[in-house]
Amino acid sequence: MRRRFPRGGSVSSGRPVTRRRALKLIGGTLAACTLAPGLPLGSLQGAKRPNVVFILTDDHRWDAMSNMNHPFVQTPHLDRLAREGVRFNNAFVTTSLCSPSRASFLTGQYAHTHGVKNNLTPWSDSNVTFLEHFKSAGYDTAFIGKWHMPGRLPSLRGVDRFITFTVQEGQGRYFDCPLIVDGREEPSRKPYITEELTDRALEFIDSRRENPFCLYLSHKAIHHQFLPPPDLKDLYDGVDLRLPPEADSMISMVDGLVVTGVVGPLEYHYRNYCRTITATDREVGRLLDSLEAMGILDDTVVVYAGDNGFFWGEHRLVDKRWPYEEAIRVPLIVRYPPMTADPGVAADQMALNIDLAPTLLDMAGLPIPGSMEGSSLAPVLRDRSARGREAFLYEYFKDFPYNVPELLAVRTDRYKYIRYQGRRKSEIFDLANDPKEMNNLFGTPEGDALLPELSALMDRLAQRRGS
Amino acid sequence: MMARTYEYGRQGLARRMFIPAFVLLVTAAVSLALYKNFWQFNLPYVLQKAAAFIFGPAAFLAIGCGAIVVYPVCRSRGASVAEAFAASMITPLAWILKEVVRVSEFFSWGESLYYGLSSSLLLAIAANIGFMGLGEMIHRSRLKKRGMARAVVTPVPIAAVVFALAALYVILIWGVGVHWFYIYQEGYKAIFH
Repeated sequence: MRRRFPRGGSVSSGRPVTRRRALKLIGGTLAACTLAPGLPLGSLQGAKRPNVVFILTDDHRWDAMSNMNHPFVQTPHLDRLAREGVRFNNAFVTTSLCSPSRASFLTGQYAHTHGVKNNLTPWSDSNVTFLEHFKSAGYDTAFIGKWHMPGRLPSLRGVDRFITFTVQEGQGRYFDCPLIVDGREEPSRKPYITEELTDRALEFIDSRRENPFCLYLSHKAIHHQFLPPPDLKDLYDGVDLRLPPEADSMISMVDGLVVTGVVGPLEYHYRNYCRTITATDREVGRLLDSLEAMGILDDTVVVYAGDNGFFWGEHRLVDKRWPYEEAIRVPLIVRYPPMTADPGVAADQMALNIDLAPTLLDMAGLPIPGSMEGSSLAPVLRDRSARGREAFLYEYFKDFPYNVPELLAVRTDRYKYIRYQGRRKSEIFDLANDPKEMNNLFGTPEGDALLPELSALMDRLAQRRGS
Repeated sequence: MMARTYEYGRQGLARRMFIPAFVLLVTAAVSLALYKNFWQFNLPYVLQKAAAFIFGPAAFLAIGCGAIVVYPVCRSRGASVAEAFAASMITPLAWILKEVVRVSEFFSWGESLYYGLSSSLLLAIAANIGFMGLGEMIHRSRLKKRGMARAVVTPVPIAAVVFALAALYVILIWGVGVHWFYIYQEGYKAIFH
């Protein structure tokens, strides 16, 4: 039966609301919010809410940018972001693998909580993404790019536009990659995927709207097969690659590393990786320039991050997954002038992928759900001397056929303790004196002295993991 | 009268089968061990790189292509096709066994056995089968020069070469190995998930 509402009022618990009662309710709510510290008032006070553009790339290690003094990779647009915003020098992922890390960015949770533990365990539709929170707050939202989580493609809640790809198990292709646009397959209009996804992002940004927008732009690049666009295929020819001393051309061919797909000379792949980074940077620049031309750049929170790092011969490894610095460190840059003190001054606090969702919600003046395990980085943007976390937990789950044991690690400012499942010996590194993590202190007098505290710290941080 | 299929008389089992297989196995094991560990000796950079460029390819060739040497040597010493086949397979199978034991650190024994079917391991087998086909034809051409064999090229060795090339294409070249990898992964999910 259709319900009739009384004229001039609305319905709350079946009781008619008069204009006077409505004013009292609004007034009471505003007063309560003013008195309650920590509650976001931005939206309630009618303050202009920022747009959000989050750019996520794949396998971009933290130091492969010119603003990190990389010996030859050029990333002028990421340099601009760092110059006008805040680069987090100590940004990490809690699991160095695409699917778990992506789910962590989206949910603000560890892999053991959101359930995407490796590239085989499916995404659960019960997971709540930050996009859903933004949608509930009145934002126009879009997910554009790589989804790449096991299981069927979800009907993502809280997303107005969902453009992704499913070819090659969701990895996509660098050239002529068919897209799934709101559930329907469409051919790529541009041959190179990073350009195509940027075009799609700009179309979403440029569409007519009255609401602020929140865009999640997730590139296939710089993932294997590390293919640059044709005009950059000769970039960095002849440069000295300066691979680590323990590396050589063939290390990807032994100890099961061939399953990473990096088959053939390491130098060939690394050069292409660097070219692909510059190609991606160019598209970041196109997006920034467009936001600027639209006059909304400074009203937009722009975040650039990588989903995990990558070994290029360090520890005689390629790929990621292991808990060493090259794999767990990621680039993380935030640009939002209205909330940034001292733009261009980098932050040294430890930031995590699980911090992204709470940070974006906080910056938009939205409440941070208790289910999120990360912390907002907004205080660090406002004050570079704000207190950061002292340690974090890293976890890796078995992912057949990759030759990496399940493990837990704890990283503090100074030390790293790694506990492997199975017969591999634990590791303790003094990151201050041994930044390359070549000297395992486990089983030495120094390691024995450190072990109780680090072990207790790990157990404390791992408490929430359950069994 | 049956044609002789060996050049220098039928030699003992050790000489016609085990010694060639053993030499290849030792070559592979030593090359691999040196390749993997030479960098830890803290030698000058140039020496270290030179060693990598010698021992890496040596290990790769011994494991992946050893049959091209072992098979015709065994045959020329009087080994039957089956004996030469077995001798040629000892090194790649030993390597696969070593890999299965190695990855049992990370996986269950069932998964480790399935790992034995992964791309590089299968390729080692396929490549050696192809090289055995080539080796048989090399062996026959030598015999023919001495008037001891009629046909050099016959369907079986050609089939072995074609099999190896097909495996190379499917496992490594088709989608740069990605398609085969996903087929392999589907098999894993079907068995273990």
